[in-house]
Amino acid sequence: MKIHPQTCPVDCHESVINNSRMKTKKSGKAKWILIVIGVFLVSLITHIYVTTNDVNDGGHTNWQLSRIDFLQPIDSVEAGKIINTTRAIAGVTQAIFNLEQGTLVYAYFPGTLSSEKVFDQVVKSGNYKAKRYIVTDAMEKRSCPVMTGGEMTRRLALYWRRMSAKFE
Amino acid sequence: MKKSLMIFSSLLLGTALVFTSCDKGDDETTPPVNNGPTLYTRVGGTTMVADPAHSGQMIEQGRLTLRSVVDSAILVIAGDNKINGFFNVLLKEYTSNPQDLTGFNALSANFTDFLVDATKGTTGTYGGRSMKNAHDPAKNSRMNGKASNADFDAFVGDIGTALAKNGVTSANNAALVNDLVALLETTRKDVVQK
Repeated sequence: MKIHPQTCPVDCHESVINNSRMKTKKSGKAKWILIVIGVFLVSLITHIYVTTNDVNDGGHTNWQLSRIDFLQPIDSVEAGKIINTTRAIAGVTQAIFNLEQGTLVYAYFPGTLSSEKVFDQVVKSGNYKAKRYIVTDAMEKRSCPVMTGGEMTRRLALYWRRMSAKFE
Repeated sequence: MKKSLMIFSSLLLGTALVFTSCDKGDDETTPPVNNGPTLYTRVGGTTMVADPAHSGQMIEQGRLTLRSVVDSAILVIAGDNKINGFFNVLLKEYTSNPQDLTGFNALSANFTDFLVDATKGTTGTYGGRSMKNAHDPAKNSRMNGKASNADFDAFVGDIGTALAKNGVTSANNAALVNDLVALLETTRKDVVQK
């Protein structure tokens, strides 16, 4: 029951004032605790974000891949020549030929090389019948299981691993 | 005060949900039982070596081995029409702002993390979706249809090709190849949903 200070005896009036002061003090303390915990959480999340910002995780390579589909049979000797030609192109880091399906996949750093240029050079080297494999926007939207979700979890796992490694 | 508490509780709950959304517990991978050294130790273990891809950085030999196999496997998969439809994003060519868009980095990191955990027999490194959820088109809109046993067989075959490209074959190290294949097989029940 709420007692109005105007209708309250003196003792009661003081008690109401004390209660009110205590509540204000408690409320003030709780606010400060919440603020400190909030600042701590924000700092921790910021720290995790900053320390794991190199999502490369100390060693993953952000390659761009491109593919050429050959429209004629290619044997292992010819495939070897194609791989050598492709790898000799400045900027290409890896090349793999699938003999069964006649596909060449090569890797390079994004934005450093034109796939048209590579295609022209490879095709010209043996007058091959081939076409570039082009991924449309629609194809791209539905592919690769790991592209969504788990980013924060991954950062947290990465952070935990790095912290654990320091104390091992 | 009550309002502040509610906001704070919501924040805590939200944070907890974000950190536990991975839902890993529903289908943990069980590594093959082996009383000898772990598979991770057998592929190089925790010995620190220079990272050939990043000058000045060190990396565990075991992780480097697994990453090399994974990176080769991604190229093999990109050229394999049998399962390439699940990984088309890898071959998308971005002409502007291409960094981190191709998915190569994400897939390489994610798959390597998964293998590190699986070969060590630990958890905590892999932070991606559970195998079941990642391969369920109803839960992952980027999963291009359900995978079949034939798709999974093609995937295992591509890993075998990637191992060979890194100098490991059934002829020179049958035990290692068999154990790695056995490890992959533990995920078949979650990956194959067709």
